[in-house]
Amino acid sequence: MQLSTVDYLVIAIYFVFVLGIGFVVKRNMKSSSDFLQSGRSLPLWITGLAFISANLGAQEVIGMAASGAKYGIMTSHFYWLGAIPAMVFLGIFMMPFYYGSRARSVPEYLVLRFDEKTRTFNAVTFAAMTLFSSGVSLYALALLFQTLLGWPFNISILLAAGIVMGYTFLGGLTSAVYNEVLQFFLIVLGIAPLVFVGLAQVGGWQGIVAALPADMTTTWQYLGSEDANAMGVNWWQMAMGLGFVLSFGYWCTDFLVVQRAMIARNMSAAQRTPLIAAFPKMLLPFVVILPGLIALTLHKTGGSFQLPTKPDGRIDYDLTLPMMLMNYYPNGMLGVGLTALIASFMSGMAGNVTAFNAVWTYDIYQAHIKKEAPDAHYLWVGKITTVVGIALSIATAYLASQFNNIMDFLQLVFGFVNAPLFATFMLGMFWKRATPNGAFWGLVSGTAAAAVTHGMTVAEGKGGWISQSHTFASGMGHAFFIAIMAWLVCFIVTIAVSMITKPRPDAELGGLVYSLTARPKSEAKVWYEKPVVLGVIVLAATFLLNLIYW
Amino acid sequence: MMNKLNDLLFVIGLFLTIIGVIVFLTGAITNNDLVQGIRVNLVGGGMLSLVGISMILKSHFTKA
Repeated sequence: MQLSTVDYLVIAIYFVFVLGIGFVVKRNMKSSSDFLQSGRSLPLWITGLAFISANLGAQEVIGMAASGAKYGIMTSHFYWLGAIPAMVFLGIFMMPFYYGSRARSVPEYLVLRFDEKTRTFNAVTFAAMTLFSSGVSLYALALLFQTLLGWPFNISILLAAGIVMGYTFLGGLTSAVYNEVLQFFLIVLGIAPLVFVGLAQVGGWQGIVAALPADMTTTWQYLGSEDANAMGVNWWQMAMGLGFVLSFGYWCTDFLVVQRAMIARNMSAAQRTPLIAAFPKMLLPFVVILPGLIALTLHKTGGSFQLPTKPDGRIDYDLTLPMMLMNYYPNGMLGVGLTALIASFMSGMAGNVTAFNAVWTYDIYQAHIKKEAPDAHYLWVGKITTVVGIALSIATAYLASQFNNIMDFLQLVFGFVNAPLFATFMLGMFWKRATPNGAFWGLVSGTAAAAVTHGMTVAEGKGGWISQSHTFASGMGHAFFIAIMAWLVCFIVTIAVSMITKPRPDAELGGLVYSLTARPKSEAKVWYEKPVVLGVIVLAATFLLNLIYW
Repeated sequence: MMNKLNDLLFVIGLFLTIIGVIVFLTGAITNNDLVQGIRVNLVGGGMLSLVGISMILKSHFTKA
């Protein structure tokens, strides 16, 4: 299917609206808090949808459909095991400290709980990670434009970067969050008809089950050993690596997502943000993973759709969803489907740039370069940082185009940064004896342990640059193991160093550590305002989904 | 003055309604959107418009 005028019209209307949102919210940008924190005034449903949309970037939408085609319904572990429990933990146990401490960013919590060097270490690694991530989004978007629409690569990069810069420069975080909500509806409503059509063709879920190997249509049954499933992981790696370390590391400490809860209008809304977000999150596999399974079923049964291939003949899983859209959608919905993909790329980029903005302005510039300045100065720095962040994203997009394994590298970096950080936060929030030196050296050791583990083990030809002590069945199992080692080393070193160094006095840790913080009285009037009740419902529903697709 | 909630509901609702109507009309006029027994443009456009109009109405009736 070729794009027609109506498809371009839909894409053009989207561009007009995202820039329009920037102009609408610009009038409210009067302080650095408005620009970098949305004035901490957004309602619950907006922060809830923004919370999951911040993670619903292009890598997620296209990557999950690709994984669905490659690994089957087991990919849903990234939701039902690798997201929901961590989101519940964040809402019930961690948000009271993030929000209650009045920290403006995740690194700022670290300076309140530990010290400046721990904050700076996290701020610098996080800033670098967001720029890489933003650049990869931009690169992937330009590649999609080039592949599907035939647009020149350079023009695509400049157009997408220009639009993202336009609305984030005008409206800051509020603009980015509003566009994330818009993107959520576009993705769900833009891809849902594809699922209806695909299921009709393959004969529903039963048709998929009949056509595919059993390990691709179940979630837990074939996790007994690495060789028993297409993903190449066993239940222990899955539960400990994805379900605990990577999941909790990402959802509970990554400022990109936690920021969406921190800008809620009060503590109750902040706590409920990840819990409300968990409801649509647990259903997203039916929108983003199922198309991949449908594509594979059609491919295997010789249907009207064949999975796209690379020049060397291997299957190009990343193009599964875009090619499904091109194959099945008529002009009109094709424009909506492509706009949903464009929105996910641009919103992924904007989310990273706005998180970079806040961390650069508060945790690096204000902490180290200019401590005491009028608020107008920090608002100006925030705006300039938007432009610089976009420029650096363009540079990293071109850098990404030079490497064929940049996505793998990025995934690895997430494991290096987030996995040890979760150990630091766990101990910081729940063990008052954890000391600033313990936290810092734990973080440094955990990150180093990730690098050493990567150097000593190998999977799919990657890693093993020190020695090849163990070979993993898949890159995913490898990444999970690296994350486990990073977390474990950080956890042990933080405890060991804390035991021999001086802790901060209890009086300084009120509101920052669980045992030294008074439990706030719940003001909830009805059951759905109580975080614990919501958390129990979310976990029960997730457990049920795991059982259904066991 | 509308609050942020109403602003956003209205803007997103308007966007979804506009593209929904365009897609729906494209399907209705060209009549060539039948895929696997489903009129994709009518279903997709209808869903977009329905959600969009609901948001606009909600923003109108929600107190600022």
